[in-house]
Amino acid sequence: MSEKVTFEKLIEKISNESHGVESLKEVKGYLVSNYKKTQQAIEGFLEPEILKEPIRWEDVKDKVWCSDETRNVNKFSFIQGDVLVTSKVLRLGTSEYNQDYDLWIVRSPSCDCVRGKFVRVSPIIEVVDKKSSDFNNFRTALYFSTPNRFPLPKSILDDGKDRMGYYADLLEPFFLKEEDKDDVVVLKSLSANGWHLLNAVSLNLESRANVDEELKFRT
Amino acid sequence: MKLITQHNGLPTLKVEDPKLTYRETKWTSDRLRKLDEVAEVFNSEPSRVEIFSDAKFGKNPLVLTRKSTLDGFIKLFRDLNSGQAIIKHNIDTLMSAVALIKSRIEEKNIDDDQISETLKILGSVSSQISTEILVSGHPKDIRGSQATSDELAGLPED
Repeated sequence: MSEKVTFEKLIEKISNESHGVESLKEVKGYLVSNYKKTQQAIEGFLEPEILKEPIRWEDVKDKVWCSDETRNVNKFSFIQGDVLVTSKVLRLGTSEYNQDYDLWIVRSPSCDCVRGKFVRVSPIIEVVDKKSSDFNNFRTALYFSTPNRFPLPKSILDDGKDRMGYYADLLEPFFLKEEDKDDVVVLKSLSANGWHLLNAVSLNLESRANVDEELKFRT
Repeated sequence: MKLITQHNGLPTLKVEDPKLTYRETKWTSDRLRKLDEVAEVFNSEPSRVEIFSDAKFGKNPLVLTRKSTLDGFIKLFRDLNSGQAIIKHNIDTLMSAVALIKSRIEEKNIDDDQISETLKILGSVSSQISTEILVSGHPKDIRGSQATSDELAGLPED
């Protein structure tokens, strides 16, 4: 049986088990046994499996919703798992968050991205190389050994800078206000596999998404 | 003078005047540049603002700049409106002049001509009052939560 099929079976399994912490152990077990080096895991798993080009409402509306009414009430700027650039993020307990850190991943389910007063996001942290102070944090994300971090590939940006990858730190809550939802740039979206993995990591912190809808966006 | 180092219980940061670099350019020719070329120009000059003029735009040419430049201005207005930003007036010189008048009056050794002269000085220093904008908030310090030994256990060694 090929490695790819095994990975797809793994995704199928965590989907059937409704994601969650137990699924996380399955993912870690698979990755540790298949990728003995960080670089192998980056090239064999992280780069090809997690992200896809941005999902636009115009491109998916007809296959996800069956009437103009439902299409229009579900018009989105971004959906769960999207990688965003914005400077409008708020920190809990602070009326405005005074900094310009600008790469974020969307945590809230996609329906909340349309109708919620606030959308939960998490900061994305760059990891340049093995000497980086965040390298060990990145490894725990890459091998899914924690529900606190989620790995992202370096292909988020094509700015010519050499880097190993990124991880999203999921612990501290940050938010986007309703009125700032349109003032974002979506760089990438999660693939179906990436979305399953994000939910395996963060289901204990998020409300349940509409699985059928989320998968239609991405397939 | 008391330094304002806190506002709303958070440290204050001085908002620097924006340093923008303006470049005149023509819509008809320069909009067709290669993407790599535009990216390189803005990477090497992040404060760049390109002004695209054309007769069709009339008196209102368009600009091309980094989104973060625009966001910075919008954010400052929001901070001012929400009370997160404050305007600090630097009135040290004015206060020194007032203190001088006060001391002379208290000493009763000032005549009408001296009062007139002092008021002139006061008038001139009043026009020299400068301001700076301070915004309260966390400094730029988002850091990832540190991996624990439990989280690192069982991972392959590099």
